[in-house]
Amino acid sequence: MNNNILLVIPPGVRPRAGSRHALARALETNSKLVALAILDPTETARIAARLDSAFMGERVGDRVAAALSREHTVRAEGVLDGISKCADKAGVEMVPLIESGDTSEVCDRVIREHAIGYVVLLAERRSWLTRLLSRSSSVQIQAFEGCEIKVIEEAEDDGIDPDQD
Amino acid sequence: MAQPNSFVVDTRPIWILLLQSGRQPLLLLTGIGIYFAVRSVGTPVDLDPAGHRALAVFALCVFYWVFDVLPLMITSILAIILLPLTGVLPAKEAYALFGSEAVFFILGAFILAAAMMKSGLSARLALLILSRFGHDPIALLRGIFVLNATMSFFMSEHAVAAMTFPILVELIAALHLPASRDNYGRALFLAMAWGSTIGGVATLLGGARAPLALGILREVTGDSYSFTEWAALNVPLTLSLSAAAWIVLRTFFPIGVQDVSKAEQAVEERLLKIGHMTLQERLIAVVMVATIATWITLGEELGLANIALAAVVVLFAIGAVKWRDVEGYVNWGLILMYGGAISLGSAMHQSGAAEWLANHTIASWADGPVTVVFLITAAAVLLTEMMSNSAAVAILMPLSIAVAAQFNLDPRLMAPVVAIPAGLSFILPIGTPANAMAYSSGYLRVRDLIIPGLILHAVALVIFNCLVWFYWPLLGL
Repeated sequence: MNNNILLVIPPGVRPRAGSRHALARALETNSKLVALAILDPTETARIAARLDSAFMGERVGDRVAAALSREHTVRAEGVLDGISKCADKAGVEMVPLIESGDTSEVCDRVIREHAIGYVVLLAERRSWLTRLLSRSSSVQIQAFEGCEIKVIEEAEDDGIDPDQD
Repeated sequence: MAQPNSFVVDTRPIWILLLQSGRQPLLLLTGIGIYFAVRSVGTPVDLDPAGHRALAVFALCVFYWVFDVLPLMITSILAIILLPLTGVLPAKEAYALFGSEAVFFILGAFILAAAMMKSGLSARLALLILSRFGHDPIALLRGIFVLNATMSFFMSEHAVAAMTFPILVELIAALHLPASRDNYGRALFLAMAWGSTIGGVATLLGGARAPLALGILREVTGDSYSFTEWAALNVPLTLSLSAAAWIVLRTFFPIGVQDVSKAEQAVEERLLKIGHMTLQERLIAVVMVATIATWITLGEELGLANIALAAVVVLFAIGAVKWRDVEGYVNWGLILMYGGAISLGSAMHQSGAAEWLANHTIASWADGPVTVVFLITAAAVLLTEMMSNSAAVAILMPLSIAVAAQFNLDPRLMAPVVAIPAGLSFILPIGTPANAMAYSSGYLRVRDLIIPGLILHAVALVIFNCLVWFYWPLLGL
């Protein structure tokens, strides 16, 4: 039976309201929480492309992209670590996952592999300036029979560590 | 079992979605529309038909450069194709401008920088500088700023930022800063971006925009600057802007971190890991120092491009680098970009289009030399926040040279007046790759930089214009 909870954490988003909701739901339904941090490979490609427009060679871009990629992984591990501590406190079993690639494809696969029955998606509340100047991501998840999807709005990152919440 | 319906979450405003899906073809067509719109308007009485056609090509290229419709170098190729096809320049002349000395100087400088990066010499220098500075949080921050600024004297500011970025990421990881929006993290990445930007305007090696401005100046007027003259004009700006940027950094991003010993340890570990200086690094260092010394002492006699290319030949001859080592570090499209931009600038001048456009824009808005210089510097700063700084130079240089004559200004003045402010991008990620990298760290948001960046822009404009009228005349300009 599909009754596990999936918390989808997009790149650069710190899931405070989302993780609280997912943990509460997991506790309530006595199910497993799968926290999935998704890394965006196009982010590093975009930085490399910016260097390209400054006529730096591809190897220069590769170095920056590699550093950025490592940094994103470390940050995702930190976020998952924070949720894991909260899950331990709450007595919820948690599976941390870090995946790189298209959010929709990764989610579809994880939903199948981990018998997910409830998906928590995060929508970041952002200022008009951020929306205008920054790239937004879209997530498209195939609806699975018996799989409920909940969208939680997260406030724009204010610099407060989620561990301190 | 998957259902045919799907759940879509998209946080973008609808108008952005609509624009994004049709952006590329729409912009391509708009550019073509602009070209034909300019062509279809009757030729103004004070402009030759060739000038009218050059203006249409210029309008098309400006549109494509500003909106990044095509890669920069492809737009330059488009200019090269259109200039002979529309009869503005003979094909032989248009293509010959690819052989401009400025293009080969840029190429030589980029290959030298590539050798420094590939050999690890630049990273070693960076670590050595940091190991001297980074004993407390303020000293480490100062070290990052000084490192980026000084290294941008000798190699492209973009290469310097790209080299520093991984080191900085490592240092920040070692520091375990508490959150992604931590002030110290922001300040460190900004020190990297602003340091390389401010240092990059000091010499002709800091970026390709200064050689590009000199290339257009030389093609149009036959005049240029020596390596030393250029540095003498701009080093005071770099020093004063560095001080201003430091004050802005310290004011807007107060440091909460007390201890950076782990970062210091990471630097030491990295230095230990790379070991002693290799023979290859020593050879490259000697060639680099000799090249800079020759640029300073014999630059005018031997030619900057000749010296740069001779240094490249020496590097290969002594076996310090191999072709395979450097080819991936240089984007060879730069030859196309700068060759095309110089051709377009030259065509605008020869056809009279630059003079006509300058008459109807800058010259009609300005009431004297001081306002002309201020308008050009402000336009350069504004443009460079929104587009490639080389493209900003390619757009402004032909107009600025044309307007100089009308206000009895020395056309030589216009090369630094355009090229220097065009290198000063402090706010937006699209302004310069160093800013883009700083934003990609996740520590900065655009709203963090609006006020500090605008303050720095205002200070830069004031200092720069003061230097133009009170300091540059002392150097005979």
